Amino acid sequence: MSDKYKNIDDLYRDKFKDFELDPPEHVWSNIKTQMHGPGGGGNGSNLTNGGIYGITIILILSSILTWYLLNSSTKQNNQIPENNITQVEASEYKSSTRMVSINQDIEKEKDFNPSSNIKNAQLKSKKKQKSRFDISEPVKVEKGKSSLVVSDNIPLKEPKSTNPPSGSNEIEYIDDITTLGIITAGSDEELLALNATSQSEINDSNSFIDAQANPDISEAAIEEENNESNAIAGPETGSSIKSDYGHKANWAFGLTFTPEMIFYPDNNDFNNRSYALDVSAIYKFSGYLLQSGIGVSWTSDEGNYEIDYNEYLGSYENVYNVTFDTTGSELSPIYHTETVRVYDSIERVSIMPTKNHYTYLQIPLLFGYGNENRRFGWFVKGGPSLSIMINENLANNNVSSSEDKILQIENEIPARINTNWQFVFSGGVSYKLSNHLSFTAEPVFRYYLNSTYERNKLNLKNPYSFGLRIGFLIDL
Amino acid sequence: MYSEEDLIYRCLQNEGRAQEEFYKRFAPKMYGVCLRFAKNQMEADDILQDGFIKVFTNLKTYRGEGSLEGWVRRTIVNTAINLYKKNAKYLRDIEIEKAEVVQNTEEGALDKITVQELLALIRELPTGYRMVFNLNVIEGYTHKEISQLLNISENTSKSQLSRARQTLQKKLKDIKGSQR
Repeated sequence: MSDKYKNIDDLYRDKFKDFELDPPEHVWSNIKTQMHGPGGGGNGSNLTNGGIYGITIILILSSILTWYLLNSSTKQNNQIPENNITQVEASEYKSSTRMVSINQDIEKEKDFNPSSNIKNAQLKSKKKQKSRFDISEPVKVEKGKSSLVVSDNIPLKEPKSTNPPSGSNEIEYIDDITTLGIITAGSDEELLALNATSQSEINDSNSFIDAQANPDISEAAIEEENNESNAIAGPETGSSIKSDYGHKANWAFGLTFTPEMIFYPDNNDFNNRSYALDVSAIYKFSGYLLQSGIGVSWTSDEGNYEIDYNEYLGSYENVYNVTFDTTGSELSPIYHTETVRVYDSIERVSIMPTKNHYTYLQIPLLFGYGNENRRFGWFVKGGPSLSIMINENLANNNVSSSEDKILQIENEIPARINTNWQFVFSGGVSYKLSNHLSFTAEPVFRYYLNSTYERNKLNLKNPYSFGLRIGFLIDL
Repeated sequence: MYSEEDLIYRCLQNEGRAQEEFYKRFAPKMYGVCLRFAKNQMEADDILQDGFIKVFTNLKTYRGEGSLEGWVRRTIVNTAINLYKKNAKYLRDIEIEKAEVVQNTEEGALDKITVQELLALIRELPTGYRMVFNLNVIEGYTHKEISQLLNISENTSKSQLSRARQTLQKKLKDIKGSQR
């Protein structure tokens, strides 16, 4: 060795004392990505960009689907009066008379201009004609029973004034029962023929026809028609009519609990459990279902703290100043002391097992299909689910003595990422406990689209989980 | 340019700009540490990356006792140790076979030898030797501490250090011989 370096240790110590080298650029890029996600600068919030984007996407999709479904549902409701066939059970009128109301359109026209009214009436007449020929089902009239037919072709009384007060309801009450066409023992064909031949003669700007077999009931029916602006008379509502044409669309709300076992394919040490409690809203339509909601899940990780510390050996009183009391006859010294703690110079390492707890917010958007038969029902559904960490409870570490000086704490529990996406697939059964309350049990498979841990050290394959979702559904 | 205290505070607030400055302030020196512990540059990159993520994650545990650089350095070294422990079971048997014992050393001028050459020599050491040599000679850990950190006996630590020294001396001798 040279004179400068007595041994190889000195050589290396000296040469590496101030050794520096710029690391490659990609190292910082990777650190930044792992700290904040792609392209991100941190802001201290647990809600990362991925979480915000996820929530936004789910909300937009939910809004579009809900709007579409509700809109199509409304259209269905609006289309039903076009058929203009409604049966009113005559029993409602305390007689065996069956009343059929055809094409009763309540129109509120404020401007009553005779010339324009003629054109309007012609247009409406054509419209009505078209709609009448679209009748998909024949009018059912029980033969041999008295039937009361109400139709547009029945002559009305002329309006007393050509300029009725603005905003007046142009419902024309027909006083004379003889103006109504009453067919007894009529047939379906007769009714249709009567209806068809009279279309060209429709000439009213405010045509409104009503039955008045029982004036009280008729008024009630008319009032209902006014309110709904639909040409539907009788006790049945639009929604109940809709239910005749297909499955009923409705909402259900659920409260469920889900224990899950999470598996890591390449390292069983990381397998753990989670427990979730969630509320969900389910929109059912024609056998299909759309489900979203919000839930909270709890999970935990076990690991170790590696603690470097200096052991506390004791203390002594250090005199840092001496003053003298001269007030008395004798000169007495006053010692000013401080307690100095003494630590062992040898660093020690302690391994402490620990457990961290995490809480996630879960937002699923599931689409599926199901069916119900009396009390039992089944369903399958699948879709994305977003998990956002909302709380992490990191366990404190404990050294052998609280007086030891901790030099460094190395947490060997891998850090979790704040946001992750999963694909959820489930199928289950429901059992009706009452008309509105069901019990549901649903095995759930969940595939994580990214690892729940930071990939800096744990480059694990994507985990998956199996769980059983159980709870109650309330049908509205 | 933040003060050290301000820099720590901002990093704890997860401010990206402060974290970048923190990294730029300490990364060159820590990269030198990583290169000594790693068997190649790729592994050094990994240690540096993992180490700094730990630094940012555990910065809240830094109590201001001792220098910040020392604390960061310890974290980086611990990261290197963890990587070694993770791979130790695959390496230990091979290392014993590779060990060469050189009894005689030759004194001579070593002033001109560069850091890069020394680094290359260290990298050629078996991983266990390299770890013990780095921890004891350069980082200042005792054999007792090394034995706890690497889960080996104190005697193993001592013998590995001795063999590391001998191996390095032999290699240095070869370099000097080729330079003449």
